[in-house]
Amino acid sequence: MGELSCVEFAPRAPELALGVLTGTQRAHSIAHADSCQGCRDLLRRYTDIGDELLQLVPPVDPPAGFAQRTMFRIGLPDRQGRLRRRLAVAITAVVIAITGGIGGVAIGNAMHDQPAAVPQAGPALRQAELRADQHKVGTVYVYTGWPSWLYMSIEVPAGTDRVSCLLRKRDGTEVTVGSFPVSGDESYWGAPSPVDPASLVEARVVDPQGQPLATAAFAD
Amino acid sequence: MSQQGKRTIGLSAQVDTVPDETLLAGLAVGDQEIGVAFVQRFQNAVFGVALAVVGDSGLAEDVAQRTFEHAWRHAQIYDSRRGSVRTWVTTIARNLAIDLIRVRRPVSVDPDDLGVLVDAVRQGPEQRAPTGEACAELRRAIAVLPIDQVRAIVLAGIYGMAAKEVAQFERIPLGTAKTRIRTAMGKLRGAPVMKRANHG
Repeated sequence: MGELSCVEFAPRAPELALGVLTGTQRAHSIAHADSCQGCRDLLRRYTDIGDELLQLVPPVDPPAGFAQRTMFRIGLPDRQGRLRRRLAVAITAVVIAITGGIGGVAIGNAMHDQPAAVPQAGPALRQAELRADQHKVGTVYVYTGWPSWLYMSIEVPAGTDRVSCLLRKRDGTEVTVGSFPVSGDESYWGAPSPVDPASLVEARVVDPQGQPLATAAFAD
Repeated sequence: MSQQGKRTIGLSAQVDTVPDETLLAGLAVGDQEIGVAFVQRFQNAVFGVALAVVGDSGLAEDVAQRTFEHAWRHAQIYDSRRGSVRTWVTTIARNLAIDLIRVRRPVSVDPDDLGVLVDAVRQGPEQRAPTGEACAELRRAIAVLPIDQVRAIVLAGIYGMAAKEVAQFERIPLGTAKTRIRTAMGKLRGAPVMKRANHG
């Protein structure tokens, strides 16, 4: 079987989008979609329908304790050494993925793949390192969608049990996000962002006396 | 919410206001509190899809747990341009469920279960709590499809049956099965679909 034409691809697109087209038909269809923007858009349209079809399946309460059993299965919390380093890599990749840094086109819906995506602007996750004395002590993430959200991981000096976070805007003004409890180990904190993420240039973490503990500068 | 001890976590606002993507990021870094919030936010949808496909509560829980484990391990490949987090995890659940039933037994669907599911996807919005405007539009579009076409897209789109399997299950020619799937999906193309819906 040679290359498909658009006319030949169109009737196969629904099954391909639902992930039930198999064998050589699937292979040739994917190859065609990979080379044809119009057919890729058609495939994306059908894939959206398939995705929404799943949302019509009635939700069902799982057995009691499901969330806890799931977390135990995942192995959280176990954030020592190797796991912490692996997660540090993972979260960087998460940021890259969410900000659309992954290139290439992958078509297919059946086995854990998602169909080709037409790049579009959308919410992103800005990231900046929290640094103290020229050392990285954490990371700040700002979700630029609505509602905007700030999320932070930080290590603080021993004996510090509470810190505050302030955001500096391009116009030089500063806004206090809030304060939160911390310990000597790694702490996490999240809150709605009170500033427009696009205007954010810096995040500062200070102790209860207002002494600076760490700073994160957001790149333009 | 905060937790003192080896780890300290604080959320200065209700967790249900946190965007889906932020919860996913928190799960990825191993934040247990955020991870639990992530599971609790999507567990009903994930378990519902798993149960619909495998038809057994025990197996469905296994599929659902593996779905969240997969989400944790592969959070870095989630791409918001391709769909919402909810879409992503329910698709994972559907695919894992299909993999499971293919391994454990020949693909088969209880006709009664199919009937219940078909009725569920066709129910009008006035009879069921809306899951979102786009879902309501899709449900209305499905409600006017011939029943045999609805069965075909449910068998293919939710149970993962290829056209040949749909034909065997419905005891119809292969060409008829393909036509039902393609015709139904073609009609649904005109229904508005909410893309990359955010939490809220």
